[in-house]
Amino acid sequence: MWKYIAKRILIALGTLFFILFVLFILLSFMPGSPFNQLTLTAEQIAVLEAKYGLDKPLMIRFFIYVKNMLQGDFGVSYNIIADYPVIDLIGAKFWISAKLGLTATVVGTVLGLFLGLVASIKHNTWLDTGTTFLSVLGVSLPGYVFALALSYFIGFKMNLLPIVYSTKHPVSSLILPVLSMSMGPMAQIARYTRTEMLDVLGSDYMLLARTKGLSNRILFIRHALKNGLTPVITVLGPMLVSLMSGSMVVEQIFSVPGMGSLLVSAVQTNDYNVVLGVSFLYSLMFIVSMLVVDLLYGVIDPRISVSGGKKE
Amino acid sequence: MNTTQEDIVFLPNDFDPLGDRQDINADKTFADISMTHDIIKRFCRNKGAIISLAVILIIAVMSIIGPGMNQYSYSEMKTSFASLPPKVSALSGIGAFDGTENGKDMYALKGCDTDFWFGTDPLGRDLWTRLWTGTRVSLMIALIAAVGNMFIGIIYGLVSGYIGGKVDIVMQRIIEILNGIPSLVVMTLMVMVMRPGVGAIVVALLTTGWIGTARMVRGQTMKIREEEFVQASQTLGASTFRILFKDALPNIMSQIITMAMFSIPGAIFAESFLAFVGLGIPQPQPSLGILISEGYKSLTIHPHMLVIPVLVLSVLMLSFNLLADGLRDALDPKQKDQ
Repeated sequence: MWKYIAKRILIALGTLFFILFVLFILLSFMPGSPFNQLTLTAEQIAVLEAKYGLDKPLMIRFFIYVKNMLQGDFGVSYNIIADYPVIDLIGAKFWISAKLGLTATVVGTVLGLFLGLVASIKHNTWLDTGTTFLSVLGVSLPGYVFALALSYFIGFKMNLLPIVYSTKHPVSSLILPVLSMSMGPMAQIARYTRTEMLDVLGSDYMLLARTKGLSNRILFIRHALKNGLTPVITVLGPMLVSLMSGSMVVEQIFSVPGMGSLLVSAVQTNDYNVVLGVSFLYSLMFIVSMLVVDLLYGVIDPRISVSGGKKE
Repeated sequence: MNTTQEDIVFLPNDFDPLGDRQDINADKTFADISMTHDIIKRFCRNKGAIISLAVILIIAVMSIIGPGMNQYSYSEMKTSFASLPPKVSALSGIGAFDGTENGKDMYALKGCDTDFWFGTDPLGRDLWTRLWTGTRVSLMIALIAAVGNMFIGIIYGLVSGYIGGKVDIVMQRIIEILNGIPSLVVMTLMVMVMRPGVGAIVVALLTTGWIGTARMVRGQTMKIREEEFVQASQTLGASTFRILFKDALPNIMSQIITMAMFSIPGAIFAESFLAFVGLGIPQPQPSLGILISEGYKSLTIHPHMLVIPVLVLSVLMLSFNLLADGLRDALDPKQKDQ
């Protein structure tokens, strides 16, 4: 088991190294340089490039970057805040995005579980149909459509909640972004839960348990829920990360100063180090969450052997 | 069935050679149905999918003929008629499309005597023409990306799954690395490298979009490789190429088509996402994403500029999802509810 975990972590680290390499190569192909402003002369640009080490060959720059990164230094920003460390820039924005993503995941999961359970218990009633309809909408439409609708009707027309994020109202101004971001996860989880629960409720061991005279509550909580909900865990991790990286548009609509809007402004100003830092952080979270989910899944459901089915 | 030995009645011609009469086993109660017929029958039973197909066809036809239906072009600017609300004279009785905004007749105020069916944008361009031209661009990007991803995914998956061994390990590591970067980030970077444009967006969509198909094809190929009919082909001396494309591929085609169908709404979304980030196709060409991000800027003053493209985008994505659902159920009834 421990050997397996160690192996998985090593593979993940290797993958991360290659991802960093791919990102680095991609960025070096970017058209234009971060200093390509009309106000600068060729000599000034050369001085600036020498100052940031951009005049060295690509591979050497890559290894310098990796060496610095291992010491927690992700370089400095060129344009957003000149010479400001990228790590601090990201750190300031990360928590807002993380808060937004986590809350949206929690809200979406709770609502989704509730809807999915209701739909599976009240199978083939109007409640089931309504839930299915809601989840089709949530799965099909991008989060920003909900964001636009909410900010127009609830924020602007009815004037109930602020449509722009402000530090003065950290809670009320986050309600609309969280709501619009949680629609996708809600739909996905409701769909998943419904399918799994219907599967479990119709299984032979549930029939046996019922025949033996177990009360409905024990039947449901101890036997159905446990088996029906484990698969839901697998979607949670990747969902959180894709929520955080996918919230760029929603963040822009509500002017939330998060990682998404940081990446957008870095993209628009050719601020390579910031783009690299943010992209790498997203990848890191993605890979870590996949790993955690994989390992957790083996602990929760021993039928799935983590070490690749070698157990006899 | 309680058919006992005594119930079997032999006819005089039962032991005659068949000759040309191949219909001897034709079952009258369950007439044989061809696979295509069966699929179409199952598909037609799904009302949601049929309606979605109709909606998609209508939108597709409109995106072809829509821009030619009035005298304006998508780039022609009439700054004196900027930001006009929608107006269709024939519909003025119903309370919408009457050319008024906040109770004021904007057409009378600006001295405009022609109708703009979906209004104009802040530069005075006709939004009807822009909407359908943009829909055409978005649909084209999505279709090209879906077909391209299908091709790359099939080839990659077949090679990786059939050859196996070291080749497979290397190919899977490549997938893992590509998959470790969130796809929206990859797309953003790719479009940045290639400069925004229709081609760049398609290539960006092709960078990671094939991974799902490749994984599925690989898994299925590995399963099929062990099946008896493939072994029979090998024994008979069929080439690898023939086995891959004649034996393996037809068995997974239905899943591939379903997957490609599901990827279309994703591509439409990705295009609109890139436009919102500021990496959409360049001016003055419209696309659904460009129209939405332009309309968003005047959401509170002129909501019509945003509402109409968002509605078209939502209806399109919803319809493609329902259509893909219906296709999956029709092509592969075993997969239902998974």
